Amino acid sequence: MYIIIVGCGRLGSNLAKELSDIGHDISIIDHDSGRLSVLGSGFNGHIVKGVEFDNDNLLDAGIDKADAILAVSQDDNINITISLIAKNIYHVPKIVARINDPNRKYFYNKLNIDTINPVQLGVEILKSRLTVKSLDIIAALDKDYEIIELTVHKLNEKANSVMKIEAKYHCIISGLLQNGSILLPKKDELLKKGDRIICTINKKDRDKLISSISKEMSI
Amino acid sequence: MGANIASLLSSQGLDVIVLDIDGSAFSKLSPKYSGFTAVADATDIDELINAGIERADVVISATDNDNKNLMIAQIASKIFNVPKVISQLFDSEKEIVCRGLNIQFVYPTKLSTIEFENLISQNGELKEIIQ
Repeated sequence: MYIIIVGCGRLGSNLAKELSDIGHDISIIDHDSGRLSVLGSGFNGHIVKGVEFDNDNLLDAGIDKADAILAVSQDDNINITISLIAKNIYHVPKIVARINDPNRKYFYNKLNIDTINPVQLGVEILKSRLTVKSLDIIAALDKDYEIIELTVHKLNEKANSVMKIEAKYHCIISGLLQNGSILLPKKDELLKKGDRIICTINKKDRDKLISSISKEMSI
Repeated sequence: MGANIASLLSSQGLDVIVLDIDGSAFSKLSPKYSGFTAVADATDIDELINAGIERADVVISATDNDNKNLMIAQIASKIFNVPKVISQLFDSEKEIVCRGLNIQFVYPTKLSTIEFENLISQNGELKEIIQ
């Protein structure tokens, strides 16, 4: 596809490089040559330095032939202007705009233009990281089993060694992260608070294991 | 991003403190934000202690600078054993510095790139990505 990217900040430059790497034809516009320089000499798209909403610059970037245009500058006004020009004058088939201020969303809804709010995306992921209870799911194996990594916060006598935990929760502890280095634990190895274990476990037993030895975050 | 997540967590009843080296940044917080703020350099251990890092359950490092975020995350995880440490990172290759530490990462640029690619490859439907 032929894609125009407007704005060469962190987001724009990363998009340009990634999309170019997967084989799309890219044109990128920014008025700031410093920002454009991060693309590096390996970048094989078309670079336009100039005012982003200037008609000549947009034509130079190929807006009349573009399949898609991504308005990703940090200035909502520029993004809206570009979107309007792309939609009403050049009828670019696919337009996506970055939203910095969520209040602007209604403009785009009225114009039927797709939007992305990068901060919102980050916040959503962060939220999910907080609500997952102190564990990382490394791999989901079929529909019942998982490989998880979790931190030991508390232990009781009946389940304080690798062997005892494995028996009680029907799991296999394949890795033990202690003091920054990972090792294969011995079965009679005693666990300590602060250790991280990697174990293969049935989802049914996973929550019991977590509430027993790990800390729950209640968000 | 920090302002957003702070406002969100505060609205859910959690005890939150936001640190920023520039006090004017706090204007980005929602008007309903009911947590604490402190002008502090989060790479300074004394200032982190003043902010209560020793009893923190979660530390989220969301500055604009990858190197600062990594440093803060490492201090939180390694020195203060904070149970949950999450860091924003723009250059995903830098996460290698924190290998083996209990730090989780969020890659804002990667997320957006994936979203854009999803949108571009669709065929012309309006899609509500984030409410």
